[in-house]
Amino acid sequence: MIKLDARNLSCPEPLLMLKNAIKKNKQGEDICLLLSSQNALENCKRFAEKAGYTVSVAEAEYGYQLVMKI
Amino acid sequence: MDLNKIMKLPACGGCVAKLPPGMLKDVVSQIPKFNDPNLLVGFDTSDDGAVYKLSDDIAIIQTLDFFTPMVDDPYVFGKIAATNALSDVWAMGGQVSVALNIVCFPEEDDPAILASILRGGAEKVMEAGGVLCGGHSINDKECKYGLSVTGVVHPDKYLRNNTCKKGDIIILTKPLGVGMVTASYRFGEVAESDYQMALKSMQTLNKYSFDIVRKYKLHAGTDVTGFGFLGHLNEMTDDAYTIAVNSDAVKYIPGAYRLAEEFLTTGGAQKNRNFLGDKIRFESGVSRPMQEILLDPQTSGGMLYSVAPEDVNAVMKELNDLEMPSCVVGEVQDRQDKNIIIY
Repeated sequence: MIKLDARNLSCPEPLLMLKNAIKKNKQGEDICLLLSSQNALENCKRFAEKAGYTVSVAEAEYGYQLVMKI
Repeated sequence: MDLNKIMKLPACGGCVAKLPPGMLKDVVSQIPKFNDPNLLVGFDTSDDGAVYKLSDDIAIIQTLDFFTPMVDDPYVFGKIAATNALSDVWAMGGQVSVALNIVCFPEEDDPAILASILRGGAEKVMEAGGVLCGGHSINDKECKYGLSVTGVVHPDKYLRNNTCKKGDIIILTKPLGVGMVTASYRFGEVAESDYQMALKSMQTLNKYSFDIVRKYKLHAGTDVTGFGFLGHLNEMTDDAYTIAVNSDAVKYIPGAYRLAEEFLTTGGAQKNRNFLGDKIRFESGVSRPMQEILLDPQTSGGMLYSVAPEDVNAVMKELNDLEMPSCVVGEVQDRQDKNIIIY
């Protein structure tokens, strides 16, 4: 699983981090993205879905954990 | 000389860094109320500046604005911050008199950077026809700059943001998209021409459009900043009417649409969307990227004017002579189920 920690980063940095990871993810590994604010959540989720991933979101103490599978 | 070298530029500088409107409303409601008959505009409405009557002929407009940098160049940052702070005076229908600097700067850093910021700010105060006459500075790890501005207006002629009349036409005087363009520029995602257009827009005083529109039947006005086009337009609405927005007519920086398509928007836009919630409705034809442009927080954005329909052609003819593109974006209609309906 590819782990991305975008906590405490402001938009659009979390999205760009995810975008790069998806671009490099030729093997189709699962991606786990940590976010500390709700503001980036919607965009990251929509971006991953557009790229063909199924996204599950769990609330965590620090914010949100998104697990993306393709 | 580069602001990015002394501090990592906050990803959400400028008006993008505003506190969310819902939170502010709660906090402000807890401040004790001042009942002074000379206070013509205060906290109670979400207006752009306070208006206080000094005599039958003169009222002062008081406003202040400051923020963290959203560009690397300190001189340009100074100009943008000052342009943004001065704007509220025109949004209240007045002219700028005096301004004071508000400065937060790390004491260990190069004073030449600060001098450039202040020079940029002072030049804009001068261009606005005002006088810069002092200020206050503190040592802070994070650089911030802005102005406290005093303007003057006749006590019967100040401009409110929520006094539109049914049938009025809404005009926007700068292109949207500067929030997402400046936020994504440092990641190499923005064309240089789009970035330059955003810089030009943020440094353009709203005085020029106001000096035109004030000659006509202008019923309400406000400037577009952190709450985005729709957030500020919402402040212009009232229970008595609904504003219908033609999204096809809204001008924006060309590259903004692609950024929005690629989800390169700001956290501020999401905050604005959350706050507006069911106060507004996007009709089905309004694409998601266009919605993002309409919600994008603007640093030193343009004005929204509510103008009598019979004057619109004449107003637009004059506004079209200005460097910044203006557009007719909406109409004040009979009350419907939402404050704003975007089609």
